[in-house]
Amino acid sequence: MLMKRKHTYDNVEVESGFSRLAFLGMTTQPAPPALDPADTDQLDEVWKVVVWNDPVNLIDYVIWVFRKLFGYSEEKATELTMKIHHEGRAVVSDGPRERAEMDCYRLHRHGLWATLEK
Amino acid sequence: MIFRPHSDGYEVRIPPEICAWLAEIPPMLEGLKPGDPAFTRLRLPVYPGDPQADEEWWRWMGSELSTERNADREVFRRVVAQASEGIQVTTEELEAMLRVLVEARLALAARLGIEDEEDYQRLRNEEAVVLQALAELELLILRALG
Repeated sequence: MLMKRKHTYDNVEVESGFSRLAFLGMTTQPAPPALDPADTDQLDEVWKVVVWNDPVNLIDYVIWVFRKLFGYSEEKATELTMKIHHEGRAVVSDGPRERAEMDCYRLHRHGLWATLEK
Repeated sequence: MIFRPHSDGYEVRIPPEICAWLAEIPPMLEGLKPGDPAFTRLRLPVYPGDPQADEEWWRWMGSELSTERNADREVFRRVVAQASEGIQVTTEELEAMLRVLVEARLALAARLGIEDEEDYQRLRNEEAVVLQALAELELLILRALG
């Protein structure tokens, strides 16, 4: 899943690279591969990273993780942590699927339970 | 017990009896097997409503996660082996120690069946003491990291 989408992102990179070359007058480059409309839709989709409450992780630790991983201010990290504590869950980041999956990975690495949803 | 900023890194000094106790953590974590609640807690679903996507995520990311967790445990093992005499560690090493302590608390709590905060009330004294001691260590490291 991750590899397939990476390929799609590579296409986007290639396309923007060709655009820059065209600007420099190098117009003999071959056209970039066309994006599959379904893939384009996937790129536009926003995925939410949800962190769930658990009775083990310390509030101070969760705040530290959000500050470290996402660069949030102490105020924002505390607000998210308390939302998780009181409401059971909170959306802590969002973005394209690949980035959301990587955020999820980093949260799991720090012992937090993170899930993905659209 | 000391965890404090020192020149480019942090000074760590832990009494020998606590070092001996902490040294048991990496082998315990490395020995977790499927079916153990601790194993399950450290491999929670990323796509809870989509088993296929979840399996795929764990297939791509699981081995990397396992590699990084093992690297953290190696750091933990090395620091604990020298911490009774005092050792200087980097920020990355101190963070690795913190993650291993978190992993250990999650694993032990899962084995003790802790699913909400009320569950702590029914723990035997020695079980509660272990979880509390690990939490205190976490807090000491968090304070040092700032």
